Amino acid sequence: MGNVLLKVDNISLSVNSNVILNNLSFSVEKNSINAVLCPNNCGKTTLIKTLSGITCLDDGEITLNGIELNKDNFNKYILEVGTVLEDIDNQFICDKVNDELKYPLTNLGCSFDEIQKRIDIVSSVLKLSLILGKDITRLTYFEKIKVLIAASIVHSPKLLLLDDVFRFLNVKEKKGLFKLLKDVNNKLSIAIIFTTSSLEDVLDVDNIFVINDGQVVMNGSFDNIIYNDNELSKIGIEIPLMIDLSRKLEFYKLIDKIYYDPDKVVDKLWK
Amino acid sequence: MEIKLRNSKSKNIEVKNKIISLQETNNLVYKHLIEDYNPVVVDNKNLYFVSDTVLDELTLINKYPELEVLGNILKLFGYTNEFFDKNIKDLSTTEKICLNILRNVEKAKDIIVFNNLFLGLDLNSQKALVRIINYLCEINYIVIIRSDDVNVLYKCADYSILATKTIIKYDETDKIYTDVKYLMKHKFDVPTLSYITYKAKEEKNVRLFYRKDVRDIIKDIYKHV
Repeated sequence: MGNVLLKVDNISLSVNSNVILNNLSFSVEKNSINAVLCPNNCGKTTLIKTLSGITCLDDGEITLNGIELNKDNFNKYILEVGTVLEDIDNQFICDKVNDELKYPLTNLGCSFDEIQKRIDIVSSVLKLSLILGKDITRLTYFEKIKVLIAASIVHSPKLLLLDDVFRFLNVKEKKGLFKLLKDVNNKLSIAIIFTTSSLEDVLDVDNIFVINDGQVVMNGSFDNIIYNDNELSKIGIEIPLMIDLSRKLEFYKLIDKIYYDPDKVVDKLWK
Repeated sequence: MEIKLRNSKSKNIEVKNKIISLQETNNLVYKHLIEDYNPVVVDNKNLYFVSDTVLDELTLINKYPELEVLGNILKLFGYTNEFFDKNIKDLSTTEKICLNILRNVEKAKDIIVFNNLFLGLDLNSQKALVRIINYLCEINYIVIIRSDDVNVLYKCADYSILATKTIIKYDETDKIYTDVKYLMKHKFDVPTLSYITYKAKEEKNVRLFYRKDVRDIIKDIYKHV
């Protein structure tokens, strides 16, 4: 219990009479990287908005670092969380990257030295030094995501929430972003929860919550959930081709584990 | 219809009711395609709308939207006609992607480019998208798909174009993406299943057939291991 950072207890939420979250419960440990995996239209954005305090709950409790999310604690709660929503372009407030990073700290009343120190830390972790002076309109999609992540962790929250940020990135960018998230997790001790509908994005996370019909239907590491590939397919999660092939070859006892490299599969099959 | 891509000396591409994929090492042919034919390009990065409801957004583009065609696309995506009356602010991202396709089909004359449209879609939405692409071909649109994932191109397209500075190959997809040696020589991406088959044939002397579906290749492998 001492290691639990976020506790979500039986939360429910309906939008326009559609049940989006239905008695959803899970908990997240400190300094861990967690993925919420669910098909499209299953309430990923609603969940992130709920956890960040943007959307109010119908029922249930959310406790982050011992602070319960309610009217009285709202100001304390939101200091513990940083959020990046999916609609990247609509989340910028300033024109320049540097100003974007300064903005939350200025609002919190930090001193000039403190602001500079914190910006230096996040920009070195997220490798933003070269674009600090740039106009936000001149940034690539990938750079914009990095800046938004930096702006949401610059006030040192305990939890970073990312809503489907991997969605429109190519394979190389996805790998790059995941590496940066690992650095954020390790160097700044910030736990991360991100949502996705792709299994390829969750290969290296500590814990995966598979959500369907507003409830957690599976929970565990990648190695645990991948052996439920039939159920994942049933709820609409695409199994990546090499994993699908490996699992089927495993079923026929032709190989003994999952291979991600086609060369290794060929070598294993025909020694 | 015949489209001539400017950067090719002798390639007039005759296409009719077909899905064409385009893979190129730089974007020159794509650039010329845009300049010469001004096709509608659908991608998932510009999900911005200016109206309140779905129907308002569609009537903004065309005063009298082709509701029958749009209704059919909705049906293929698994939505009903009630979708037209929805508030845009209440739409989920997948619904916004669907609306984006609808408004682009409204705009399109004859060529539609689907640019990395499978990114971020789950299995059911991907299947729906394939059905929509096939439907658009049936009603005489030329659909050109581009994707960073070559497996998508191999699975979905009827014909494929490979281009470097100019078009170097245009043929049926099955022929293009099973010529692995050629693809590798010219540094194009190779579909995973084609690569496995090629490796097994070339390096292990196994008689495998080129397949598009994992289940089919499993049967072949089972016979030959």
